[in-house]
Amino acid sequence: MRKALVVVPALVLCLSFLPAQGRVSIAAASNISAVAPALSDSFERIYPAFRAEFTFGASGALATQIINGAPFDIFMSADTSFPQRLVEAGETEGPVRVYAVGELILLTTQKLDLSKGLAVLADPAVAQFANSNPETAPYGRAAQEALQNAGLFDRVKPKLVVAQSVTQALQFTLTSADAGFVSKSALYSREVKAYDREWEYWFAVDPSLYSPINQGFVVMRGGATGPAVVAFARFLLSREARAVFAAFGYGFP
Amino acid sequence: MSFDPVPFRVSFLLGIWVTAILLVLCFPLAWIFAKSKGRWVPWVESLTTLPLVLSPTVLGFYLLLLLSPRGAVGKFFLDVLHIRLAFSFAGIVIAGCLASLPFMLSALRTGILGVPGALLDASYTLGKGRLETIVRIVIPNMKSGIVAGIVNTFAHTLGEFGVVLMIGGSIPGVTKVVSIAVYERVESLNFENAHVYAAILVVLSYGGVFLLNALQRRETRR
Repeated sequence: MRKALVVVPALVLCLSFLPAQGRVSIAAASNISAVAPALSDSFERIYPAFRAEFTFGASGALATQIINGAPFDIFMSADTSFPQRLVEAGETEGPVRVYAVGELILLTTQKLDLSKGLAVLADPAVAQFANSNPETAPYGRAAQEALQNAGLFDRVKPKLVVAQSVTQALQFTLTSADAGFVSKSALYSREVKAYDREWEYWFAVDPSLYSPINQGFVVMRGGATGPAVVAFARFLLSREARAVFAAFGYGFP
Repeated sequence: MSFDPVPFRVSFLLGIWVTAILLVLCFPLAWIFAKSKGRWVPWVESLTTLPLVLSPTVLGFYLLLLLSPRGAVGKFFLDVLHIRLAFSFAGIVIAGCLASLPFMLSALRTGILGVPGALLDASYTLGKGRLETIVRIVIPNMKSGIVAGIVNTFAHTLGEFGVVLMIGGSIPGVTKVVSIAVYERVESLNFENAHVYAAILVVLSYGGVFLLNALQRRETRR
């Protein structure tokens, strides 16, 4: 009896360190969080033996974690430059591949005159707007670029509230800020459904104002040989995965 | 990116505000907790200790809902006082006060309990009122408790992270405190800058803790 008290927890502890053959752990940019359930459903339908497990964060935050030894198999970034840094650091197997192109939208829960486009942010009706940190979140970088190219950045900067990821920007927009830059995929999450009315609560930021949000992924060196990892990497570029991404408002290169 | 001292300024201002507000607010509270024998005291006292053990994210979550222009407190402040609490300095001061409340309170309570009852009785017998006794007898005799409260609260506020991350919005010069600056530098792989901020924080915090320990040592020797 007493032996069991020691042996059983020890066994559980050992098992938890064994590599799980059927699992693929994915570090994914926060904009993926809305698509992830549909993505893993589709993946597991094609490969019933495998499971996909997602961890979300700002792309820069995840890249930092991976460089410092976080044991992920695949990194799905919201850009190509963070995964490229992992390639250069020799942490990956193969190059960066683009799996989707993101679209930037401005979302509000208030009654604003969105026909003004981005200039609506200069309105007194907007006291604060949210954007994700351009240093770590590619959508935040795109939004800042769009504001600069529209010649609005300096004017609206005092109203800017900085979120740590694009999902926190969404959360700020839904709770306290008057508007916010988020990914189009956010419209498909349950909390935002009520605001999915174009030109009333959101509009797509003119794509000519920012460099395309090419979202790239890399396979990490440590996980490259697992069958589930290989399968997921293949799946991400498949027609099935594209159908899922397209249904959530993503484009393709 | 070069070294930016602004987050330190924000953190210091936050520390000064929070410490000053808590010092004034906590003294009467600590007095009641130390002196009152009411049955409600343990209940309220536990409530004020809660921020010590509660996850900052829980505190941040409730504060976000409360301080938002759509929340009760946030709406009142915005409509009546025209102060915006969400993502503002006032907002993180409120958050900082809640998060650091137990530190100030327990230091002051210990200080008050450390003043010999005989001194108070003597003062009352000599015809001095409660207020005069507090100002001339209690406060001078609990100096180390007050200093401990100030140092502890200030140091803790300087290291405040979780709540501010959730309700601050990282606005440069307004709500971007130094711990957030470190976090953002690390996340953007800018380790050199993170090192500078972190090293300064280590030195400052060590100084604070050293001061506290020296104080306690002097206390026990007496």
